[in-house]
Amino acid sequence: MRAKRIIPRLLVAVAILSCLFIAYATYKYFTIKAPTSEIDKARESIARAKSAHASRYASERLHEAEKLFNAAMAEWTLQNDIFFAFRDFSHVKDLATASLNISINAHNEADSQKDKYTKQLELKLEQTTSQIHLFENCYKNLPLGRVNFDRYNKGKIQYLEALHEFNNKNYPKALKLIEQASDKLDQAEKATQTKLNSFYEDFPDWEKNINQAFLLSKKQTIVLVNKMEATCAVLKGGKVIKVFDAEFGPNWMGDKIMKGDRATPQGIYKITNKKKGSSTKYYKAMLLNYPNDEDVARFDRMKKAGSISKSAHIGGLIEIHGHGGKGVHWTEGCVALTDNEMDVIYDLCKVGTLVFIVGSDKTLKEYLNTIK
Amino acid sequence: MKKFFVFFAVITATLAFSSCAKAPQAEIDAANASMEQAKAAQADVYLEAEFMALQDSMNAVTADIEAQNSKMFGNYDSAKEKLAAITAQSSELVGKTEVKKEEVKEEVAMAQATVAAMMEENQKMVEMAPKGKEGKEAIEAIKSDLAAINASLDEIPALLASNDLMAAQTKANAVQQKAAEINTELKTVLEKYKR
Repeated sequence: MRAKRIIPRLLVAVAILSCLFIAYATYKYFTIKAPTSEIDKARESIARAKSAHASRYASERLHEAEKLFNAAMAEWTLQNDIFFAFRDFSHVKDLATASLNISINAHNEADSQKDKYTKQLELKLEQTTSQIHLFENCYKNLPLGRVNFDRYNKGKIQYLEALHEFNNKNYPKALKLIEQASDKLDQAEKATQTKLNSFYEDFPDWEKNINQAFLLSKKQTIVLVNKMEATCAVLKGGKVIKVFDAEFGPNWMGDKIMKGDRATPQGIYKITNKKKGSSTKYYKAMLLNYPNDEDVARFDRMKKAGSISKSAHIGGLIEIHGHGGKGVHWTEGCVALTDNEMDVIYDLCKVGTLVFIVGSDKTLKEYLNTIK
Repeated sequence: MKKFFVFFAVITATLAFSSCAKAPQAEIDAANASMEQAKAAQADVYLEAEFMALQDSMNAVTADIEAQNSKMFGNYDSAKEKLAAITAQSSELVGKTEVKKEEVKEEVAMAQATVAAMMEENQKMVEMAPKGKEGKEAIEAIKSDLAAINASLDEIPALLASNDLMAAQTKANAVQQKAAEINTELKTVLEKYKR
């Protein structure tokens, strides 16, 4: 009897509690807001950062923003699995807001990195372009050796690749390539300058010899060979009366030291013999007195110092001869002219004619300025 | 009293089944798989902007689905439509990427052929190079130029084999430019020589 009275009361209490809970749940349902707006803002911001190539220029920051966005989405899923009355999206919103802020930073960082890259690249490209320009105009016609030319050419191809990447706005790749190119071009330029500086160390002697040659030419015929100009001139009456293009040994930049070095000697020589017909295989030839006393003394000094092999021979048979006009420096150290030119010089010179062989009549600075 | 219990039962049942509308998981999986295929085809490399747009659409749909999940009566019709569109667009992107890759390969092949023809011509011109002062060291330098071009040209097949088409394209373009420069240089010298 008592139980009969209690049960309905209990049911009413449960019903009232349930109603209160339902009221609470309904209130929660209508008041709690899903984090849609925060998530959308973060997503759109990430998309904008990606469009600004943040994945390339601010990858760490973008990755962090994406990680936070994914965490926000995971948290949202987790909250959705909970009965709606107990859902709490505050953490989702926090994560989404953090993702938004970091993606904005990523966007800004990408923009500033791009600016930095562009400026750095423009400068590097300008420097490398000047380097290439200098090489093409000043050094390309010098016997720099295959290794040096190869370095330069590889560098130039990398420079062109860098230009393509720069135009495609792939700045990090362009920078990497331009640095590699610049490295090779620097090496080539340094080696060239070292070679040129070392070659031009003898300039005071050349200058002295040229002055002497012009002075002596007032009374006698003189032959003046200029290596940098690749010319062989005949001087008479203190003036140049003939100039021919000349070809030398492939290693003409530098003095001849010994047999087989394929270098053309520098100094003052005289014609000791004139050959033609069957006595020479180069149409006509005028033999020089290489090695002269100075050459022998230097050769002995170097041999003693061990800078050349003990079995090395000083060589000889340096001539001014025909069969030139090949367009390359090809002799073993002789001065080659075309056969027609050989006819002319052969008639102008006699045994005893002095032959001055110099590196250049201009200083290195003057040479570079002339070419530039 | 009885009416009150009926009302209470209905409310309870409604609440109990309120979150039972299912997210379109099959469509989500299909869209994700399709996106993965596009990425595997390197759409993110060759059609970066389109791939990024698709990725953003996928993120937007996922957010929309979660928004629907948050509701008592979620409606996934719009999400399903968008997912179907993403799946279709991703598949399309795979095709477009392949076309783009083929275009790059063709461009590289064309550049290789052009360079090969130019190199043959260059080689012939070097043989005909002028005698005299201007030709001397320049010929040696040009020979080194030609060797460098050949060396770079030889690197292209390896890049193509490793599917690094963009690098192959860059190299091919650079090599073509360099070969063209030498070609012009030699032609100018020969022209001068003729005069």
